[in-house]
Amino acid sequence: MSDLCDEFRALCEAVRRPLLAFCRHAVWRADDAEDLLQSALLTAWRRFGEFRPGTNFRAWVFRIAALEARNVNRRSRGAPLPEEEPPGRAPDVVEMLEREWDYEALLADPETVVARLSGEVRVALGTLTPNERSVLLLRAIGDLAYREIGDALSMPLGSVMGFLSRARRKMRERLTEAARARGLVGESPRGSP
Amino acid sequence: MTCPEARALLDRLLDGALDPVEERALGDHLAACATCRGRADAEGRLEAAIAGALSEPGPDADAAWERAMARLPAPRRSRAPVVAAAAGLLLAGAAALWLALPRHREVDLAAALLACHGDLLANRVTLTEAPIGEACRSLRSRIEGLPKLPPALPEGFILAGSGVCYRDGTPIGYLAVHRGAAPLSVAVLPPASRAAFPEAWARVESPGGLFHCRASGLSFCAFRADDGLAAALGDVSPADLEALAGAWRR
Ligand SMILES: [Zn+2]
Repeated sequence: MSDLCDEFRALCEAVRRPLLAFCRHAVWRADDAEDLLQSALLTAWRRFGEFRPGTNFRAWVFRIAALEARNVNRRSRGAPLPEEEPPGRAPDVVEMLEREWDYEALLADPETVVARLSGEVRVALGTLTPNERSVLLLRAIGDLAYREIGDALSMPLGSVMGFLSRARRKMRERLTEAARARGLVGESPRGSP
Repeated sequence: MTCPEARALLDRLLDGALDPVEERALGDHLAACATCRGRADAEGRLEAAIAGALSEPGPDADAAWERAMARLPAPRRSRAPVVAAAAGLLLAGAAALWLALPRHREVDLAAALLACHGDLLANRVTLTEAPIGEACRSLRSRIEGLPKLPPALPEGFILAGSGVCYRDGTPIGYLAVHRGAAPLSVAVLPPASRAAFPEAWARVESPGGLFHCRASGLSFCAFRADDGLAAALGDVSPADLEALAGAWRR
């Protein structure tokens, strides 16, 4: 049976980094990350017979990890989770951002700002609802297509887009605030009125 | 398209999720509007930077990975290896034989099982190794109405692996079984498979509930299994297949 085992390990190895990162961020209590990793890999191994060779292993294994994340988070309810909001329509980023000037300043050099705010990325993630968080992580870390995210979380495509859009808006707002608080972005570039 | 309309589509542009009409309209706008073009570029970089920050596995992640991998159930030594890995030479011979066998019109289910068997010999199937009770639960959770597997196979038959294989969209509970050195393919089907395999169903509706034939030089046997259907195929004697069928019909 070692063939099958080797095949499984090789496929997992190819998604090692993103899967580790997903397990790190998908749990609501940092302590649970290893628990999630173990359940995800064990479930994937048990159900490996269902994986059809030649199809997308990354999407398959992230779907399992997303399901396991729900179980782990349900088992380990620490602080109350942010309440779910209905998906609604995609908000307009331009209207939604209160501090448009600061956001534009952040956009002038996003790599540097994000690098200096890496701790804030985790904090910003904590402000998302469970659905927003799952969708964002599957997209950003798992690199799943909308349809694959919908399959993984059993939600329609419209909801995937709604949650993703709102998750991104919240992340941008939060990072913009943090950048402003740290003086990484300044006053309005066009001057105060 | 206005600038706010264009900006509302930028995320989906980054995600490669625009439909062709939207893509053309946005493309036209970006070609004409340097502001939105700059915004698209900057937001792409911002999202990439956020994704990069989120993609850090964190300290001790590699040790956690090794621990998790080490905890996966190890292959059981007492069990037969999966057929496709069993004996390279033997299988290479079996695969060559299989390819050389003459093909003619087979009973529908025999043809489907022959295709599965060919995949098995060519090492194209991925099977789960598990005791028969677990294989039974797993297959029944994946195929609605699938008849139960027997609690054990008859003496001399060893379950090497199980999985679901699809023929024309119909799911088939599939078992790879050893009879000595000979690999066998076993199919288990729910009552709903009647439409996909009318011939095999008609044949097992006879009094004995058992149907034998040769399929491309191999023995094939179909039989009733509870309210469903099962079939076995391999380079063994019809009596061997009947003995296997006995496990379901006990
Ligand atoms: Zn524009």
